[in-house]
Amino acid sequence: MTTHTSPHAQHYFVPQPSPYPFILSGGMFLLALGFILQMNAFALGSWIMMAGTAVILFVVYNWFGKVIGENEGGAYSQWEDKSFRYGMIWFIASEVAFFAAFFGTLFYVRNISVPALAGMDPAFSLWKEFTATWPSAGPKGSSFTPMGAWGIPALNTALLLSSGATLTWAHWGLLKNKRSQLNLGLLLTIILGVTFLGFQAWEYHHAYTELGLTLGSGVYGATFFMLTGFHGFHVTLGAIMLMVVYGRCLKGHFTAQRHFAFEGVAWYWHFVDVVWLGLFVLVYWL
Amino acid sequence: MSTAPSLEHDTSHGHHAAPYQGGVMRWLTTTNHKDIGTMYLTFALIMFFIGGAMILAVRAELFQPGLQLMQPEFFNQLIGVHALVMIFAALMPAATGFANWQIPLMIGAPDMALPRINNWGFWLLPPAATLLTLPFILALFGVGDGAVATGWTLYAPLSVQGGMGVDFAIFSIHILGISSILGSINIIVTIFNLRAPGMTMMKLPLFAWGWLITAFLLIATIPVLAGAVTMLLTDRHFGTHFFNAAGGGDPILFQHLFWFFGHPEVYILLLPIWGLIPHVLGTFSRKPIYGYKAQVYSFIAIGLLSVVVWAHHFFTAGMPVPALLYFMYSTMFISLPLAVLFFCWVATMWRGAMSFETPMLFAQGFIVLFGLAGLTGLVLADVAADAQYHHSYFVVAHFHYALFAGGIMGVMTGVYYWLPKWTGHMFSETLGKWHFWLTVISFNLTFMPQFFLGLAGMPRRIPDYALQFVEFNAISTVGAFILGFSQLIFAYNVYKCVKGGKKATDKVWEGADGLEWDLSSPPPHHSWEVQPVIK
Amino acid sequence: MDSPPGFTDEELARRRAMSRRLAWILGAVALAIYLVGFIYYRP
Repeated sequence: MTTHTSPHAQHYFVPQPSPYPFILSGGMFLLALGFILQMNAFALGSWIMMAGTAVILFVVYNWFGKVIGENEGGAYSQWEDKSFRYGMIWFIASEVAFFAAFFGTLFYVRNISVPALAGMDPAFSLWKEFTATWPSAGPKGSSFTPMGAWGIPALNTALLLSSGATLTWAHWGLLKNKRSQLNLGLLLTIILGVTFLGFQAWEYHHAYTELGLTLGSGVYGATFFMLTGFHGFHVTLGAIMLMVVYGRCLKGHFTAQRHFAFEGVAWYWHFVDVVWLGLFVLVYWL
Repeated sequence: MSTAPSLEHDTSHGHHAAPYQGGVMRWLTTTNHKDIGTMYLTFALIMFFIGGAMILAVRAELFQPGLQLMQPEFFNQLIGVHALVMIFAALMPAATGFANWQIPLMIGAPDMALPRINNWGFWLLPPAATLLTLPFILALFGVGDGAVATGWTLYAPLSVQGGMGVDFAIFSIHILGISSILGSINIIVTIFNLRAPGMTMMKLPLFAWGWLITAFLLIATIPVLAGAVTMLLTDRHFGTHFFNAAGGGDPILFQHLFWFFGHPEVYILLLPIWGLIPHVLGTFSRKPIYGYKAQVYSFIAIGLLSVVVWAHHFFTAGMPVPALLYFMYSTMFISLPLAVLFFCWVATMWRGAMSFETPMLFAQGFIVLFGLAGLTGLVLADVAADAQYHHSYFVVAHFHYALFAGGIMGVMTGVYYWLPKWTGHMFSETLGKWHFWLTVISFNLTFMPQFFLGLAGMPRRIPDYALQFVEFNAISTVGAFILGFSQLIFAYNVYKCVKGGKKATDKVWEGADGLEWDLSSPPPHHSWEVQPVIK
Repeated sequence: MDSPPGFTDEELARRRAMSRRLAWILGAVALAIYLVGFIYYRP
C-alpha cells in the first residue's frame, strides 16, 4: 500500500473533551436503578427515577445546545455533515429493528400461538371453551371490545399522512428559501402531530374505561398497547424534535444548502409515519 | 496489497489538538479514540477477571458431586452472570476497544466519526456492569434474593417468576444494548465517511470489514433483544401475557426473539476476530493475505445467514418438521463460508517464511481450537443428534471452544499483535509464550472432558451430578483453575509492557503491512490529522 | 520510520521450505487418519 500525505487535505472536526457523555450515563444509571426499585415497591425508587430524569434532561438540553452552537459557529463542513447523516440513518435502522420485534410478536401470536392453543386436545386442555378467534384475550381472559379501525384510528391515519405532506411542503419552502412557507409548514406539522397524540390519549382512555381493553387483556391487549404505545412515544419524541427545529427556524437557522437537523428530524417523522401505517393495517384493521 | 516503502508524513499538525485535562478528568471527558479504546480494553480485562472468578467458584463446587460450597440458587446466579459478564462486558468491549484503537489508524482516519458518542458508548458500560452485579451485594444486606438466576438466556416463564435480579438484568441489557448500538453506528459512519482518499471498500483492511459486518448485525439484532426483554418486563410487572399461554401468548416466543438476537451475537463476537486473524497470519508468514475478496464475501455471507438460523438453539422445544429441516440445513450451510475462511487462513501460511512470536502462536491455537468448535457445531446442528446432546455439557464445551478459543484467544492474539504499537514497548516474549502454552493446555484440560461428559449425558446448569461423572469433572476443575490463574501472567505482561520495556520500532513486526505501521510507536495522540492518500 | 531487524534471505528461504514440508506432513497425517477411520469404522 503506497501512501503519501495529500497537501490540501482538510481537517475533520474532533470536538474538545466533553463531560456530557459521562454525566448522561450517570443519569441513565439512576433512572434504571430507580425504576427497578420502584417496580419492586421500594419507596426510594421514584425519587431516584426523578433525579435520573432531571440529569438526563439537563444533559440532553446542554449537549444538543452545544452541537447547535458548534454548527452555527461554522465548525462543521460537508464532511462532518455526512457523518451526522449516516449516523441518523443507522439510528433509524435500529429503530426499525426494534419495531420489527413487536410486529414479529404480533405475527407469531396470531398465526402460531393462538391457533396452537385452539388445536390442543380438549380432553387434556385446561380451557374447554377456548376458540382461536382474533382478537383474543386468551383462554382465561375477561371479555372486551376490540378497537375498531374506522373511527379515531382512520382519522389519526389521515392526520399523520397529512403531517408528512406538510413537512415535505415545509422542506420545499426551505429549499426555495421561502422562510414563511417553511415556518408555516413546520407549525402545521407540529399541530397535526400533537392532535394525533391527543386522539391517541383519548383512545386509550376510551379503551380502559368503556371497552374493557387493557394491557392485561390477553395477548391482544398486550400487543395492541405495546405497539401503539411505543409508536406514540416515538411520535412524542418526534414532535419535541420538530418543536426544537421550529424554534431554530424562527431564529433563522438553516440554509437551503445546510440543514441536517431539519432533514434528520424529517426522516424520523416519516419513519414514525410508516410505522403507523403498519399499525393501522395490522393492529387495527386486519 | 504490497508491502510499501513508507514515506515521511507530518504528524506535527497539532494546531487544534485538544488540550486534554490531566488526571481522572482526562478519562471521563475524553473524545480521543485512543483513550476510549484504552478504556474499553481495560474495562474488558477487569470484567474478564470478575467473570472468571465467578466461574472458578462454580468449578470449585463441581469438583466433587454433592453440595459443598453454595446453595443451588447461588450457583444459578453465578453461571448466568458469568455468561452475561463475559459476553457483554468482556468480549464485546474488548472487540470495541480494538475497533476504537485500530480502525482509525488502519483506514487513515483522524479519529472516530462521532467522538462524543464514542465516549458515551464506553461510559454506559460501567453502570450496566454495576446493575448486573449489584444484586449480589444488595442480597448481602437483605435486599432482594440475589442476581438473575435464570441463566443468561432469561427464558420465560422462569424469568417471569424470578426475583428482583431479573429486573436488574433487564435494565443492564438495555443499557449495554444502547452502548452497542452507539458503538456500531460510530464504526459504520467512520468506515463509510472517514476512509483515507483512495481507500476503496475493496482496499479496506479485513479487520475493518469484519467490524463493519458486526456493526450491521448489532443494529439489526440488539433492538430485537431490547424488545424481548421489554416484553419480559411488562409480563413481570404490568400484567401483559406475551409469554403466558393463559393469555394466548407463548413462552417459546421468547426463545424465538432471544435467539434471533442470540445467534447473530455469536458472529458479533467472532467477526472482529476473523477480521484480525488474517493480518496476524500474513505478518508472521511474511506473505500477503490470501483470498482477500473471498474473505470479504464470506463475512457478508455469514452475516446474512446468521439472522436466518436462530431456531437451531431450541430444536427440542417443539417445532413443525419442515421448520426443523429448514433450520438444520440453513445452519449447516454456514459452514461453507466459514470453510472458505479456514482455507484462506491456511493458504495465507502456505509456503510462508513463518516465525512464531506470541501473537502468531495464539493465532495458530485459535485456528485449531476454533476449528473444533466448528466441527462440534455441525454435530449440534443435526436435529436428530441434537435431541441427544441438547442442554448437555457437550453444548457447554462446544460454545467455550467457540467463545474462549475463538473469542478470548482471538482477543489475546490482537492484544499481543498491537500492544507494542499502542504502548511503544515490546512485551516479554518469554512470558507471552508461557501464557500461550499454559492457556492452550489448561483450556483443553478444562473443556475437552466436558465433551465426554455431555456425550455421557451430564446436563448443564446443575450444581450436583451423578457419580459416573466424577473423574471428568475433577479434571475439568483442575484445568479451569490453571486456566484462570495463567491469565494473571497475561495481565502482568500487559502491565509491564504499558510501564516500559524494550523500545518497539514503528513497524514492530518485520512482515507487518498496513497504514497503522507507518505511524510511530506509540502513535501521536492525534494521528492522521492529514489523511494519507492510498494509491 | 525504523523497522525491526529482519531475516536474511537464506533464513527466509529455509523457513519457506520448512513450512511447505510441514504442511505436506500435516496433510498426509490428516489423510491417514481419515483413511483409517474409513476402513476401521464401528461395526
